[in-house]
Amino acid sequence: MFEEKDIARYSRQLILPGIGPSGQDRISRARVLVIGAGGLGSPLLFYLTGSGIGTIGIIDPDTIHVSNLHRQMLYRTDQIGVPKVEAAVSNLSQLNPGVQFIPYFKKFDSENAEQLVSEYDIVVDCSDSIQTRYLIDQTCVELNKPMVFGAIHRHEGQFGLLNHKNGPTYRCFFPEQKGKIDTKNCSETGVLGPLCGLIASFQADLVIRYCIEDPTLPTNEIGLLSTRNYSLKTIHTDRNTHTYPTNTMKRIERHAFYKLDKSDAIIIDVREEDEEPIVDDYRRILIPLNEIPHRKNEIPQTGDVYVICASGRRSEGAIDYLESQGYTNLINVEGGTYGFIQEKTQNA
Amino acid sequence: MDHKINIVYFGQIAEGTGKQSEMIEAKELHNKSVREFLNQQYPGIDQYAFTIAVDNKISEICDPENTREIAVLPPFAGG
Repeated sequence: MFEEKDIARYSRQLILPGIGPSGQDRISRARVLVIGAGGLGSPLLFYLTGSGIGTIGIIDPDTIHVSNLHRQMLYRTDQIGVPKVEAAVSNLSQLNPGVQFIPYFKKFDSENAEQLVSEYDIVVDCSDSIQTRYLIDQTCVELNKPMVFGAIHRHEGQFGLLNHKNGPTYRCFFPEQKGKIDTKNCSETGVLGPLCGLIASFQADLVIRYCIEDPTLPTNEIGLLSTRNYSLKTIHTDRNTHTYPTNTMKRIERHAFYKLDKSDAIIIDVREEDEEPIVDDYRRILIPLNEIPHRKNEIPQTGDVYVICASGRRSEGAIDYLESQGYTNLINVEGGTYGFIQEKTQNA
Repeated sequence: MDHKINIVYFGQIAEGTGKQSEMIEAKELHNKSVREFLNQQYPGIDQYAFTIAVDNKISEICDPENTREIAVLPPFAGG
């Protein structure tokens, strides 16, 4: 609850038309779930924490890696190896001790989605996987919760407030297209830190304005930002009805894959030919993602077949496509080769 | 003068076409959908997920002579 002692801290936003003590009180009572504490989540969390959001849940399964630090300024070099949610709560608490943080050191998945989302007023999608984004969308629709999404590809970003006041959902803008190859995430395509900050800032702005019940909040549009030519385009649509499928993809957790006897295992690697990290602990069949449509006859349709990439995202896309072609025997390796290397290091 | 339409490509689609944007004659979209046109111009593009916005509104249908811009938008994965 907003108290008199907080007037100085929030004075610059309190004096804005439309906020005042009542708006700040709404902000201080809000419960916001942030899914992903990486490139988008990191700058977003600074702004949400600074604004005085009452309770912020943060879910992320990763630990801090040195490759995160060029864009994820929430973390420090001496925190490499620490779970992101743990470091985030520690660092953000120093920015604003009045915010309550609830960390979840795990992946947002179909097992925990409903329980988690039901405990919050609004969900912020900062995930780095289209499959996770569709799961967030589905869960928010089922529970009638608004969702602020953000997503990045190289020098471009997308963002918007969805499922608000019967406005469009993520699927209204981007219907799920089974069997198509999805775009790659930042660890696979590269990204500059400032773009993450820009998109996260738009997301944070939408969350805060949702909390204060800003009547001018856009409900039927998303933004497309390009830092190539500094353009910002808005795209509109209306609410449609969609079928929300259940994700039944088979998966193997990275520790289980590390321990798996791989001597006879069939492992399809969908990374590019020379892509690092190089793993020579098991035999693999290398079929880069874009070559799968015309090389799928090299992949058996019976027996367990493990599909791996760098992080587990492209392999999900490959399995999505192959399942649309009739495959039922594919297992996604969660964490990909990066996860395998981490397991190997921890078990050395 | 013949009416022209600006097609704007985003993300992986822009990388696939090798273009951020291009101007086409409206008549190139007569009797065919935007997707059919794109598939003919850029074979293999249909293996990627994307959505189409006509004059900033999501739509698979466009009236070529009354359209100024078509945006081709893939969903982004990164975050």
